[in-house]
Amino acid sequence: MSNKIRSKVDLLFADAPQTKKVFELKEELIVNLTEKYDDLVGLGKAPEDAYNSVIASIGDVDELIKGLRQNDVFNSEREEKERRKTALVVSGAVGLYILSILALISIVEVFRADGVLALIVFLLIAGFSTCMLIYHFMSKPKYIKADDTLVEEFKEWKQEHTKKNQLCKSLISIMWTLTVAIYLFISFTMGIWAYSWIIFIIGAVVDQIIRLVFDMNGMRE
Amino acid sequence: MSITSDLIRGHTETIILGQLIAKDSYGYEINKAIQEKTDNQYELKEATLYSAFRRLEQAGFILSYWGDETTGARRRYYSITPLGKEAYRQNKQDWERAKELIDRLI
Repeated sequence: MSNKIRSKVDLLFADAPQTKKVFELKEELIVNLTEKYDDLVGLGKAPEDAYNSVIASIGDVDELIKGLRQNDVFNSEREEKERRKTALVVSGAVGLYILSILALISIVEVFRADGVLALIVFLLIAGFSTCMLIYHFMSKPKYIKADDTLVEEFKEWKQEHTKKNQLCKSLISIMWTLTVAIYLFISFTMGIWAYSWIIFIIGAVVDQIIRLVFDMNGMRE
Repeated sequence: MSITSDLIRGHTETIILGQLIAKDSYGYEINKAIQEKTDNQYELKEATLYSAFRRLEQAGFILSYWGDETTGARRRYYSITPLGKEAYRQNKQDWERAKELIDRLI
């Protein structure tokens, strides 16, 4: 009879998401219904009547399923908000980078101001946008599992993974932007075009070091 | 019976908390106790009972754990938390007050 109850419960929950929560709820329900059935039969009820009254006592499972689904809605709303924030921060930072290079060139070329002043302005703007990016990606909340399915676990893992990759990528691109800016700046102000290209080799080394650090971090986990 | 159900429905959570104050219990046992205490006049639908469990759990009023039955299927037990006891006490107080007022009015 337990099997008959089980298939009835499976049928009732056919539309529910296949999650650990739902699975556990079904198990709980089946155990309790079976015990009720056994009690009714023990009291002398005919098996068929007992089965029918057990099934009738389940009631409307829609409210149960709805309750289990509610969490998903909440999470997707939060994710949407997070996504918008990321887009805003990234576009703001990129804008500031462009502005910083523009400031560097215009202060030196248009206003004929001191090179050091131009460099300070450039570093301040670039530094601020870098901090903005790093802070955002560090403080971004972990992916919140909508439920306990394998798919969700995979999503969480993937997000962890790409989060790190994103940080690595943004660091590297920041580093290269800085390298180009410093190269142009030093070359123009000091006129050492013959040697200044060496900075690109240094840049490549720093690039590799950043990647290595991220890889090592990944391996340790 | 249906009118009675409507009147009682708002108190489902408190009724469950009241059963759990005495001891940890599981779905069917709680429902059986409710049936016995009301001389078979009232019984919760399974769906109502488990929806209430989920709500109470989310609110932190109860905790659940799987029993360690050696024979047969494992039951899911619920136990009341201090927060749940406080909520029960508060709800009971509210009910006493409402009952007194309604008695005077109808």
